[in-house]
Amino acid sequence: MGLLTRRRGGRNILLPLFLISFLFAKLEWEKQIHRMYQLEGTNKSIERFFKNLNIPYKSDTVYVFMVPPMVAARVEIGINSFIQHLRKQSIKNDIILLAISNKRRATEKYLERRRFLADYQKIVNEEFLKFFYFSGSIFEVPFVTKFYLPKGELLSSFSLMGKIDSITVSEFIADLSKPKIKRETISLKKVKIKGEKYKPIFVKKLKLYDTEEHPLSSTFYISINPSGTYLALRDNLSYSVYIFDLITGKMLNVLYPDSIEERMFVNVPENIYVILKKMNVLNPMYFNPQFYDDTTIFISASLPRIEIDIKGKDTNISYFNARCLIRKSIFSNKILKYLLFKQPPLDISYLIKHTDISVIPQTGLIFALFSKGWPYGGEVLDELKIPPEENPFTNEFYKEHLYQFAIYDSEVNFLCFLGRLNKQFEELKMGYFLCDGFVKFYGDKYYLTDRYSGIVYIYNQKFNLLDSIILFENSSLVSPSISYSKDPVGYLVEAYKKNFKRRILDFLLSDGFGYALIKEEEQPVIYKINLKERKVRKIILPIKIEGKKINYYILRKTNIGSVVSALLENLEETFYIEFKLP
Amino acid sequence: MVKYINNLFFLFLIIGFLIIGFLFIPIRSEAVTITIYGHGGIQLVPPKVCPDSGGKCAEIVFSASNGNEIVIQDANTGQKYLVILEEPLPADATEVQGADLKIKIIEPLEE
Repeated sequence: MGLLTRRRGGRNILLPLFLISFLFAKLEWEKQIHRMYQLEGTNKSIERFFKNLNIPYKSDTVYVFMVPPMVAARVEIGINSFIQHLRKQSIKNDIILLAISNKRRATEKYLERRRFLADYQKIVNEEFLKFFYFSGSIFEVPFVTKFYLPKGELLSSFSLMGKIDSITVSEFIADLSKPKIKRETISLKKVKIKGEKYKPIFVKKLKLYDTEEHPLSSTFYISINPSGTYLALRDNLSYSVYIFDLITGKMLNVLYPDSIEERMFVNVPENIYVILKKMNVLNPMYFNPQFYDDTTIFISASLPRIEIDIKGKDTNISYFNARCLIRKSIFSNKILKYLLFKQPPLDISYLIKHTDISVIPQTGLIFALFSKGWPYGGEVLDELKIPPEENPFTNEFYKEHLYQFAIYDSEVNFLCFLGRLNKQFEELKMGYFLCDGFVKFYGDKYYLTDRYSGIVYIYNQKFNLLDSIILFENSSLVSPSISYSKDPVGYLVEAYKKNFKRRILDFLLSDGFGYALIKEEEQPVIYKINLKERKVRKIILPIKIEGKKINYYILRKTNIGSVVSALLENLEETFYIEFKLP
Repeated sequence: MVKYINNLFFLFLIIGFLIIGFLFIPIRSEAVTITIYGHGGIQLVPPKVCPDSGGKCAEIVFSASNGNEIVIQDANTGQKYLVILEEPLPADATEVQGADLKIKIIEPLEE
């Protein structure tokens, strides 16, 4: 029996307490923003799936942790704690952990590092997710679930972003709500993208050789040094930056948060540090690497900031992210410089998103995204708790502080805010749900975009707006069918899916043309705009080549002209490719 | 043979625990709460959870008294071990005799 239960009065009063909580309070998962449902008509497939895992089940009901490895790294610390609570509450059923990832080697390494306490740990392909629906439309947090194997039925699901204590675990054990949903809650027509088809001719194709110690998984961020000799990418499963030599394809170095960085903001006694580390609590994370020159790199990072408060017999450990910018040489893991992002005081609660920064070496400036308001935290919208200026569904939200970027100098001193929230987000009352964007610098001007409006704004170095380039215009806005008062997350997701089908991945200015790499629905497209005539040409890029999926990242100028940089991937191999812009 | 030696090693280790005194360095608490703060809302592209400080993402409450991993240190050699306590710690203990403890050794810790 967990100690909390004893503190609340012992086993004999636990049941009445539950009954009271059922009557008067929302269960912990009813407050959760992240929810998971089984899709109707999938029972047989799920039954088969569990059979094929080849586990000698000793119970018909199994507890299954469904984990997107390292997507919510810090939330994963709840896994072992939840398992311990289950065992303390005499649960003898099989406990299984499913690491859901297509990158087997990298996931094996991840499981080795994380030391989960489940009875069985399996790596399963992302195909398994097709049997479920997630409130945020994608699988982005770990869930604990309960399945009844003979019927292939999901009995209960709970996102680990909530509160995990003996009460929650007891509620979860008792829950048989069978969260189920019909397929295709939002029907969207698939549109064929029009444009000229382009068959790229590679100017470079290079296999990337990772190592056994550092297997490559996938990445959201890549950067290439000005000479085009090194590639830096942030590996999604290790939160480290891998440096590859673009002549040989070999892994040159791995930049990772070392023990100095890990402990920089952790001011706790040694023994507690050791325990936190063993419990996977300390998760230093690297995000967006950007070459500053040929051999040094800026990396935005979240380092653990731990505060400890001991009150009587209870210990409260608070885990924040210290938001840093770290500069390293690509040849060594030693820090050359680290800087903390400072947040200027405003009379509202807001965030500077240090994860997606734009570093401009020519002027030494750093642009970070500004964001405010719900959805934040892990909870559903509670209008009683959230002030109107932080609630995107009120008019008060849009009265002031609608910035797009916070600008910092190279020492990460705040200079000013720049840009404005996309007006279409305001019209649809989406707030900063699609908080996104980047900045490029060509000639002596800054080019800013929020990625979704289709507009690139041009500013001079005094931050005066000079002009804009319209790459595309979104058709007239369609209001979601879901009411935001009933299902605010569903409303936001539908508003996004119905209205913002194009996202700008990168923008390049070259020889009187603007080039934008755009993902339109799932189709990668180049928009080539003649800057004098403002005429746009659309060129359709392939989704697959040689049976491998292409992930497009950046556009850049080289000695042979402007090129697209992309990664060509299958389950086992990754290739770096370049081809000339059409 | 290797297995036999390993078993023997742990047997001696456990006997050692029963003889010598241990300096305790546990989290001297009944309930430990770990609260993770961050921007844990939904983000579609790229999917990211809790990258920034801000709201509350998750809260994990557990008992540190038993069933959880703690570190103990051999008062003589200074060697630390990660162990699981199988019975609660004596209240306010800082130093106890090994015989008072029921523990399961997980692993010796490197400095």
